[in-house]
Amino acid sequence: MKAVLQKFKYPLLVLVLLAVTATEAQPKSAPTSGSSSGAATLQAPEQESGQESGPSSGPSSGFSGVRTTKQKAQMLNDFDALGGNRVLLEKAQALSPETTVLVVQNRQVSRRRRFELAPEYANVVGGDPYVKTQSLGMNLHFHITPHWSVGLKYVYAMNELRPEGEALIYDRQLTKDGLVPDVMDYLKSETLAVLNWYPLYGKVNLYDLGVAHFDIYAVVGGGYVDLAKGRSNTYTGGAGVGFWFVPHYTLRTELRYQTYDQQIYSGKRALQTTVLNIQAGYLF
Amino acid sequence: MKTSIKISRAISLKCLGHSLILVAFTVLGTLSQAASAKDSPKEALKAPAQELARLARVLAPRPSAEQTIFIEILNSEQLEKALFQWPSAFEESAVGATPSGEALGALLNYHNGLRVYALESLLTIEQPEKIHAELRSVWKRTVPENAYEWSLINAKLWRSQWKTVFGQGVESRVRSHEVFQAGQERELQELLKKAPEGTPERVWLEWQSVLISAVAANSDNSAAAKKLAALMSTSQAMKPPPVSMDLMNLTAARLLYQAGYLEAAKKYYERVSKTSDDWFDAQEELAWTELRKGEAQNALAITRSLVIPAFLPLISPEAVFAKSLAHLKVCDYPEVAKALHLFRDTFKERSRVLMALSDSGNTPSVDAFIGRMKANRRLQMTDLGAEAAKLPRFVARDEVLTRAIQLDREFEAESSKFKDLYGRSVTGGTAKVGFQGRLEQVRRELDTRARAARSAVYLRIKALAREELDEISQVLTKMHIVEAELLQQVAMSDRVVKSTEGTAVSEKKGTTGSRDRDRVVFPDDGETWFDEVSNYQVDLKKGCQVGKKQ
Repeated sequence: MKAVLQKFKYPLLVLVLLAVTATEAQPKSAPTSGSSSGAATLQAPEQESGQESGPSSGPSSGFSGVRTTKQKAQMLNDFDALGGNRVLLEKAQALSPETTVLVVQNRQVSRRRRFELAPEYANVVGGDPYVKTQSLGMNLHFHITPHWSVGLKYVYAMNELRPEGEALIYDRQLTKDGLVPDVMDYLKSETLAVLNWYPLYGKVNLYDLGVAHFDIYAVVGGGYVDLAKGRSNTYTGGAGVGFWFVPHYTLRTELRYQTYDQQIYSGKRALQTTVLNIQAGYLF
Repeated sequence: MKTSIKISRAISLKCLGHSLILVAFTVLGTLSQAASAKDSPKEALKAPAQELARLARVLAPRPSAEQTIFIEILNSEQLEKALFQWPSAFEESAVGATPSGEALGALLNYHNGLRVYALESLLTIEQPEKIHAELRSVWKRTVPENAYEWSLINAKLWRSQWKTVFGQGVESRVRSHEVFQAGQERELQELLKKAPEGTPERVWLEWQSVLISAVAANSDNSAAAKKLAALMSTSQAMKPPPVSMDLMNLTAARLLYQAGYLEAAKKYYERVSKTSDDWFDAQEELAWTELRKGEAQNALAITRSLVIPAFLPLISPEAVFAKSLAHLKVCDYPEVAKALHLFRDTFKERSRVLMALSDSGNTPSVDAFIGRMKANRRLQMTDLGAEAAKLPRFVARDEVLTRAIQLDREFEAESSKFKDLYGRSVTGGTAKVGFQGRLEQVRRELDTRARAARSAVYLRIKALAREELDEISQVLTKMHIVEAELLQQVAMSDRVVKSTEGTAVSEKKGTTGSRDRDRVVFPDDGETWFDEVSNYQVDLKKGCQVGKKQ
């Protein structure tokens, strides 16, 4: 009998498994008596006298109830016997599937057909060596899709001489009578139209306080600058990172190359600047 | 001249005097009217002590000396002292033995804060129709239909005669917390007829009707589904709904699954909110739905969320079983072995905890949980933090346990209150001695009841622990079978390799995760980010195949 059982152990177990999986594949019934969550577990706890009890007491039908010490020990031993046969696993690697696990989730902030109004602060880090230009401005972006947006920018510039320019004028060790640098055609304001392309996205874990999504984007644009002595066309291009924290608030930082013609004493010159700006916006 | 002046002065003085008196009367009258206007709401409310005094006079028109003292004490609004005086005034008298006398005594207890005890005492009166009409009216006014105490009353004490005193709606309030079994549909339907529309009690009874319809042998799912649909529609307007929408969505999904409507079932499973404790069960059953559809890769994606370490104390053992089966179906044998080890490591320790709980429901974790439930009335497993691992899985969702804890809280409060009263009775009672014997009896009754309520809580915890142990034991058996099947398949794998060599590679793309057109896709590098939970997608290539030779 033992030999017969041994011979047919695996087929028998397969049959049992098929029966079990067929049972498991049966629709799970609606909340049954016993361990169902929520209301009406259709049983009541064992109650002492004077207390309310439901129609039946004790665990629901089908469960074994109280376990003896031996049964408990047996159950714990059954756990130890699980997963002990690893020897044959190596043989079956050829059948293992190629599994790709991806995380596919919604964007934290939708940017499809939405407007973004973003005031900015910018600093011109290149350009005229004698003039320090900072600016405040306003941007209005329209996000067509999460990958493309168009925008308008208006910027008001504030200029002051850098230490080098002041030295030229006031430092008598440099010049005998002082030299005024040719900075007369300074930037007053600019108006640009821009196009943003957002090809890369990512997310960052903010010290376990939350997760913020961001996009790395490229920006190109053109418009005109109002200089002290007139107007000039301008072109710009660069890259930036935009963070989208919550449904309505945005934070961007950009580094752009920008060029325009300015008048100096000897004629016209193409001024090439690098602009670093930061924008904090509202999406609506 | 003098006379005339005198006369005229007198007249004028008299007139003045009369006027003054008139003005005084007017003023006083106005003042007293104002005072009585101020008092009339209080009068209308009938201060409990005075009302009790009045009722005592009605029941004992020729009071004895002790009864007179009792009434005088009530007139001076000393309810507590009246309680001490009650045994000597009424319990030994003929009036005290009548239904009216018992009802008056219960009312006195009620006004002294022993509300549930008083109501239960009242409900034990054999012939409520013999209670004095005025007293019945006072009881009805004092404990309206929507009073909280009705939800704590032992439903077995309720008899239909009390409808005439408190109204039909109270019966449903008292009995809605009963647990009805499959054979009690008629009783349940009778009770439903009495439950007012739009009340939590009606919702609870309708919910039980849905469950009974769903689990009855040879049940017609469509009947249960129709009732559930109506119930969900009614409950949406209630804030908060007496039965959570998540649980109803889960039940709807189960009914649909049972009837074989798998796609519809999936939609309802997906409606269960991530913040709900039912979410874990919903996801596990969603994995089973995918397995049943033959989409093992989707089942793998769903169970990937469930087996993150933070969730292991909260999931059912069947979730790991589903995961292992899904891996088996795609011949990912190393992952099957990992699932077996995960099951062993997770549920062996959990079984130890549950074994301890099933022996003694009284552990520090249980006591801490009971304390928090008493303070908050409702908790979720996620509120419990690390303590959740030391409690049965359904401890926060089990309505029987929740009610047992509410009863424990109420009876404990009443017992504690009475102990204070009893302590004061030594000095605060009347000069009569011997009444404390009766008070001692009441104190012991309240103590016994409070202890019984606490015992009921521990018994329920033990029952839940045993149920969960049984569940783990059953799944453990199935996991052994999975292991046997694994070994069987591995032993036969050579044949499968030979038969699938050179065949076209099959691919199965997962369909879980976001379906939004602007979705973002990240690789799963094994690190768990909480915003990624339930957003996994698994794509499979050449499951149970070797594929073309390289």
